[in-house]
Amino acid sequence: MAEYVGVLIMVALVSVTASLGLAWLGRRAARRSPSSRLDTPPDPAENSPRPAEPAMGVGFFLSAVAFLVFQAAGLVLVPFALSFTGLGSEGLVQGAFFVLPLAVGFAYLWRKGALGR
Amino acid sequence: MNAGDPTSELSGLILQVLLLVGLLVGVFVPWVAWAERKLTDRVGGRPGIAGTQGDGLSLAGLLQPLADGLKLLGKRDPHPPESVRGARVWIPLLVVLPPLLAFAAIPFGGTYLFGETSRSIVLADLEVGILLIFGLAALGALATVWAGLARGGRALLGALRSAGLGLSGDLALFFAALPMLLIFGSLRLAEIVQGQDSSFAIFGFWNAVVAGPGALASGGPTWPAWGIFLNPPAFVLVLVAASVRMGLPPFDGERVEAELAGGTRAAYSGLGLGLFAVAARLQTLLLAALLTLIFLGGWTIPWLSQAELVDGIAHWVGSGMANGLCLAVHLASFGVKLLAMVFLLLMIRSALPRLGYERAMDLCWKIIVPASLVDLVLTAGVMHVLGGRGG
Repeated sequence: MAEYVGVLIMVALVSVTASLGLAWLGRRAARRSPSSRLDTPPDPAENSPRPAEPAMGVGFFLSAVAFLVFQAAGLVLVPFALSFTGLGSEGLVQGAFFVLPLAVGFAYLWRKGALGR
Repeated sequence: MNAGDPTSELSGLILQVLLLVGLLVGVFVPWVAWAERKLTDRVGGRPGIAGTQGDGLSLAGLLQPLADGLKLLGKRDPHPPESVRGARVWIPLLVVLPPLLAFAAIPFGGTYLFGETSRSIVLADLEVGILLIFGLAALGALATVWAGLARGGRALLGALRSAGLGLSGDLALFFAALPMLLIFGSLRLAEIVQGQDSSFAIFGFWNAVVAGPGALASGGPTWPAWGIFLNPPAFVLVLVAASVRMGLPPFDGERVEAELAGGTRAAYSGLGLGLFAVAARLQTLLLAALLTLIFLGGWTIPWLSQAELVDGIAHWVGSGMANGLCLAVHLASFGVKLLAMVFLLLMIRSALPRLGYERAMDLCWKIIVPASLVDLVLTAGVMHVLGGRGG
């Protein structure tokens, strides 16, 4: 774990100093709004009485589920890739048996239109 | 890092962090901003930042990033009532931090012997370096979603699209990088570069197929064993997928002002907008560094391994300074390759039109992921024929 000390120091130093420094700088340097009306964003649509909540289509959820499935499959392939040299022909065949159903599932999703238009 | 007194080691680490962050934010980010403007002007045939100024203060436009930063600092930042308190600065800061932190895992040189101690030119030599960088890249996209959520309205729509595209890019990048993990057998970036510090025979593969793996090295002239030469399709796939993942042009449509009547960034002004701009330049640098390490041999010199270079320098100046000079040469080599990659990314930004959201999604799911799977199978097959990583 010793090698993570550098990352931790960076997180601590950068996040604390940058956030405090920038918050101070933003408060001191930025011009104040003379009126709260100037806080209205420039886009007229932002000022509509109803908030512009986007409609969440089914496509978003399908993409998310497909992402989860394939990302999990990809994670399984990482140790396979790292230890590929020692696995020999048997490893190659086993890897192919893993990738083949993945490809079939991918083709099925594609055909069903789950990957977009 | 070398083992020593914990206090001095800690202060050394703090100094390294300050140096790295200072160089990145104070030198490299403004330089990328300057280069981006100059290149875009040149490609678009415009006179540009230096061409329109005759006061002698422009210094070829080098002061422009400073002027931009000062201008943004003084701008008023509208704060709509429905937006989250503190979103003005804190959330853009969350967009900046992940690419900045990812540089902790980027090695800028190898391991060098100075007297009795060996030093690595990396802040954190992690065993899972690539995974950490991928994870931090994912956090950056998440922060963009927060940025949209905090401001609400149209910015939220842009943020959700950004999330969908980011997830697709994440998957595509993961699959595109798998063949390279197969070739180098490591997640540690320094080891991946060391794996490229050699040469391979151009016709070695054919000889190995005909006469067996033993004939791999006897294939006529040699070529540097860089990732881009070992697996050229993976370079293109990783370049495109990572550009989508990090929201770099031409895949930044969800964040720019012209889209959705103002994307995520359009909801911010002043310091917050400046932080978004810093994050975009940091991501350009991070992707360039990643491509340099995985595909261009990092700091290595073609046809000259580190041992040969140290021996050669020691022959001329003595062994005392050999490692120091070797480090300087390696840093220069890394810098030149990094510059080439930044130039490539900026040229892509300048020359290509933005891709729409759905076309970018299609590119990830329907081209990069299947092509990466085919690349993975082919790479595994070729490596099996060659009998491992000896090639």
